[in-house]
Amino acid sequence: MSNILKREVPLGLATVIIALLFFDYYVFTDITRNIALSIADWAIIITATAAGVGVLNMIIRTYQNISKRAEYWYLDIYMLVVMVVMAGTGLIGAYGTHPVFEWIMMNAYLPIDASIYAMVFFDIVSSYYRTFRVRSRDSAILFICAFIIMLKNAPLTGGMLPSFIPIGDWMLNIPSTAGSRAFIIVASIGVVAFTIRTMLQTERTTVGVVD
Amino acid sequence: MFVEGRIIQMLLMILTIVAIYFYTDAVKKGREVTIRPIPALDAIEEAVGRASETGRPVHFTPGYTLGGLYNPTMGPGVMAGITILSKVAEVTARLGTGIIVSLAQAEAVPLVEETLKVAYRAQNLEVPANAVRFISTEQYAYAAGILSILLEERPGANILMGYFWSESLQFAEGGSYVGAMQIGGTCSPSQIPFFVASCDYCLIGEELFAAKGYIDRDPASLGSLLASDILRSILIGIVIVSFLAFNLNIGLIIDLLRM
Repeated sequence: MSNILKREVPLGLATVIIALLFFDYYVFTDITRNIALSIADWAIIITATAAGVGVLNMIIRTYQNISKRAEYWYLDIYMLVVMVVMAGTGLIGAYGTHPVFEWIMMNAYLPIDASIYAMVFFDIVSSYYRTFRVRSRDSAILFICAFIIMLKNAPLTGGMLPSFIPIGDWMLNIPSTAGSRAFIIVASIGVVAFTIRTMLQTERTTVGVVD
Repeated sequence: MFVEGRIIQMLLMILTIVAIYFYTDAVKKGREVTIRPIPALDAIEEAVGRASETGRPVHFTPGYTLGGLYNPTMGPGVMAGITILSKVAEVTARLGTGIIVSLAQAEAVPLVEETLKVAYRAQNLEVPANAVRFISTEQYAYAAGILSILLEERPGANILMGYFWSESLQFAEGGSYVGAMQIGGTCSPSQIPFFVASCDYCLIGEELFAAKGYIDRDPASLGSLLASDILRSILIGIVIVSFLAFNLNIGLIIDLLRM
């Protein structure tokens, strides 16, 4: 029984819902449109409920960690306080307008987020340093292309060597765009095939089944 | 009744469904399918083996998606990553290597737990404690969490398979910093160069979706690979026909393609 509830029912529901949404995308009828909209509403309701359950679960586990004095238990207290303050101030008035909420967002959340994003650029430099070793014909082509694009984009060289700008533009607009479009089409075919396999119930990983 | 501009798409979709069904059936009945070697998937055993020899765990993450698994373009990439996790978990269970799976999707936690449970039960083992770690649905909180795991746990293998954004390079560089052998794979076009640059092996685009068929010889995956090849050939044909039709101004074909 539990297997039927855990696996077969979700797979059956997935089949019906995917088929309905496919149908609604290609064929317009009032009935399917209303059902598709209801399904979208249900998805939002289920997600919100799951988030609520997740928060409750997290509070219980955090409380257990604190009471057992588990490793880094003091960080759990910090997390609980931040969560309560953010949720409390976020719920007062229109979302995100409370001054405390705004202050935390502007002075803590966004700067931390931006700092981590900024770290990407250091990683890019380190990664490029390791990558650009000309060991084969392919890596030589990659190196030359990257060097031209770098000359085009860097303010100093872009200004001093303007002839690289049209070459760089051409490389980005023609071969690079063609390559990325081919890549997107092929990856999308994979996504379509995966969705169809789920609809046909032959892709069972979606319910945690590894055949 | 039919939505204008989507009729050709609908016909292609129906053709794909029929082709997947037909080829899956053919593979089940014994049709042989040859897949070219995919070094990144062959290297999983080597990566886990190396981690095992050094007594370090394996780190796996299926990436980040906006809006969780429900995102129509990114969700399948993460799901494909989880299918590869089943192979990784099978090897870690067999070799007795530790495994850490970090997630950015709360709804993927039960799927991943179940996947690990199946792999470890097959070896009569329990899943290691604290193996599945949900980090955050916020992109950079997730990135910071994984960087912290990489630095604290110092995994011997760092396997990044799924859908990634700009955090991809942080993970790959973090893994390189701790000396982990790295296998990356994504269907996100913008992140492929970063994985190619930073990882020892890389799965590109559709290879991620072909992984299950390659690893398990699963008939459904092999069947859908054959069907995808047909769809790809048809799309190449349509691109060529459209190019000719628009440049030679062949009205009938243009109208047909716009249906």
